[in-house]
Amino acid sequence: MAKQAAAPIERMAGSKPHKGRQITLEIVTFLLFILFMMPFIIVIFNSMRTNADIINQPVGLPTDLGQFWRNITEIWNNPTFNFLSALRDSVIITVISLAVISIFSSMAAWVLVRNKTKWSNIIFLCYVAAMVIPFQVVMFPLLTWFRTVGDFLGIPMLRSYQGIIFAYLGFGEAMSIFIFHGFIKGVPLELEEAADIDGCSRAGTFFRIVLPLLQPVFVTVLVLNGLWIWNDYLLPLLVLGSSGTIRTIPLAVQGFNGAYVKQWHLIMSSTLLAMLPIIILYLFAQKYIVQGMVDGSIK
Amino acid sequence: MASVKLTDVKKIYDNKVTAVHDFNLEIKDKEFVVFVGPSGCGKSTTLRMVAGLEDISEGTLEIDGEVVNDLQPKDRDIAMVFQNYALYPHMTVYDNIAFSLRLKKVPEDEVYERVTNAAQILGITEYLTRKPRALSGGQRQRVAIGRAMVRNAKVFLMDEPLSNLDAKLRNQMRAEIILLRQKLDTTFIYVTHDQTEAMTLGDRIVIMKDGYIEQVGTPQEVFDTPVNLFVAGFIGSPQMNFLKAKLLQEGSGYSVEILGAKIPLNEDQNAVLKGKNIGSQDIILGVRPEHTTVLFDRADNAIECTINVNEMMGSELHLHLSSANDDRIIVRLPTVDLTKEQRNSLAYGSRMYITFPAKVMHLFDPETERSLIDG
Repeated sequence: MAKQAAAPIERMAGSKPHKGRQITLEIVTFLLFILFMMPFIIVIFNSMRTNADIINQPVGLPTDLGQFWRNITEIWNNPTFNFLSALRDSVIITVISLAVISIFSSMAAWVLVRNKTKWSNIIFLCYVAAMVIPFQVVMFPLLTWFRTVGDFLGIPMLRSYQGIIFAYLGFGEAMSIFIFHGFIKGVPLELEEAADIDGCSRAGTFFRIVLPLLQPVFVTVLVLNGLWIWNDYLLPLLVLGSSGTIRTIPLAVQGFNGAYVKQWHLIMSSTLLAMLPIIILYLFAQKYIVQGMVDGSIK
Repeated sequence: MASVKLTDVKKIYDNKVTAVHDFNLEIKDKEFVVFVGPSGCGKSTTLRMVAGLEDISEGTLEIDGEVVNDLQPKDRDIAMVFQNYALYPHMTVYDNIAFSLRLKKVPEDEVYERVTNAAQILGITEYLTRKPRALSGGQRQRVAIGRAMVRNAKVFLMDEPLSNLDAKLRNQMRAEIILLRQKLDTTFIYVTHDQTEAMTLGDRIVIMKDGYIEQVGTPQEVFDTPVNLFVAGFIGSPQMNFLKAKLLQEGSGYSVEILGAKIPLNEDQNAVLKGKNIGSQDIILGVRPEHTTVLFDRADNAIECTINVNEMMGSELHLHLSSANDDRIIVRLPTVDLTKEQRNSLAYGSRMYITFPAKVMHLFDPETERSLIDG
């Protein structure tokens, strides 16, 4: 009996037999870290090198750090790339898409959770099913549909802000509703009933009571959708086109990747510029992402 | 302050389950009524119908003479305290209490006055700037009561407000609710599954089972004259003992025969039985543990029992006995009256004798389970 009780205490103290295993695990983890970080490191290093350097030796250390500023200045002054205009378009599309996705999804999820009918279950299952449909399957029908709807309503859906934002709402809603749904189920109904008795309208209950409680999961939804929308290349290419007046940063970066000439130093530097805002957002919000996911699933 | 009248109120859920059957009750202005019963008896559903959180399937609900069936909860002028407090977690205690007043666009000076006044009464002034998660269970419950208090509502509803608290705090809060009631002087409807709460708080108690009202009466009435076996067993702690016995009609009088003991009924009981034209029959005899006298020696009309369990409660002993009929009997025995020898003799397996006077006996029909005298 005493022997049995002693065993876990030994393990907790980190006794010798496990030390070797621990070191091996740490080495493997470190190697995996390097492996996963390598593309990012290559982008950072190559954004500080010249095009000739990169072509001669794709993976290498920068020799002149001042090259980074020269690359950035070149991008900034490049009339084809037009960084500011691309940044403006990316910000407009991402911010408005995130706003409509998060507000509509949270409201829809709330209604689906609180109306326990057969139909609300079916609608929710449709959203869940929509999550597993690959984008590539629907991308061409989507374009045809956008053209038809646009012609019919007289509202241009292709090569327009409203078109791409509407498309992002459609594609982002399923996962967002799924995440909100899981979280709202854990919000006690009594809170809403108390608000009801206190004199809140339905909309008031949502905006004053439910929405503030969704804060952690709201950040999760914003970051997950933000990462994807900001970096997305294929949907903007299809809806906005590569030569349209509205161009997101990924579309603009593609401009350096010509059929005959590839300006690798500019591709790398502009990619780094494109990544920075979303990395900063992620670093600030990452604790909420984990918290939001856990809150929705196990609480 | 208002009266509440429920007439033939029914609650039928979508799956055809009837949670509340033909509920009829008139609650007078400033009365404190307690709905009590086991889980699933429909007490909370009835309260929620009064609050407007559940639709009323059939019947009418009137508050102050006005039918409010179709009114939204916010338009019924009621205040409610929930079992799990339902405090808004993202607001401070002050904002929680002030929430309903601000929705009503009450001037901020008056909001301040009413909130601080309620906080003072409830002793939570120093916590007004805290968020609910930084409060203990008892403090949260006070905030929940404060939130209901400031509204000066016509009817104050409480849905098992003390069941999340530990036993000591529950007793303390129970006393505070009694004080609060005196200060507020309004109509209260209180739901609980705890008969002690019901007995101590209520002017009248509504005992419910399976969606039906079993009995309505003052605490004394339901304790002294339970109309059926359920009420008799539910009210009182430890619960009433039920023994198999026979009612005998001999000439103009009645007596109860149990295990050789024969206890004649008193004049009032005889008159009621005779009035109902009841003859000799099998009965279930109900006797409360505190109404049973324990004898250490054999005596006339005493029932012999064996001790199964001896529970020491401090000021009294709870003896769990079994009779020759295999009836389980609990007896309360004040320890102050016992000598050391007597206490030592109350060991497992020891024999002892119990007796009780006719006036404390409750007679129930085994078929209908209704009281033969009080029903």
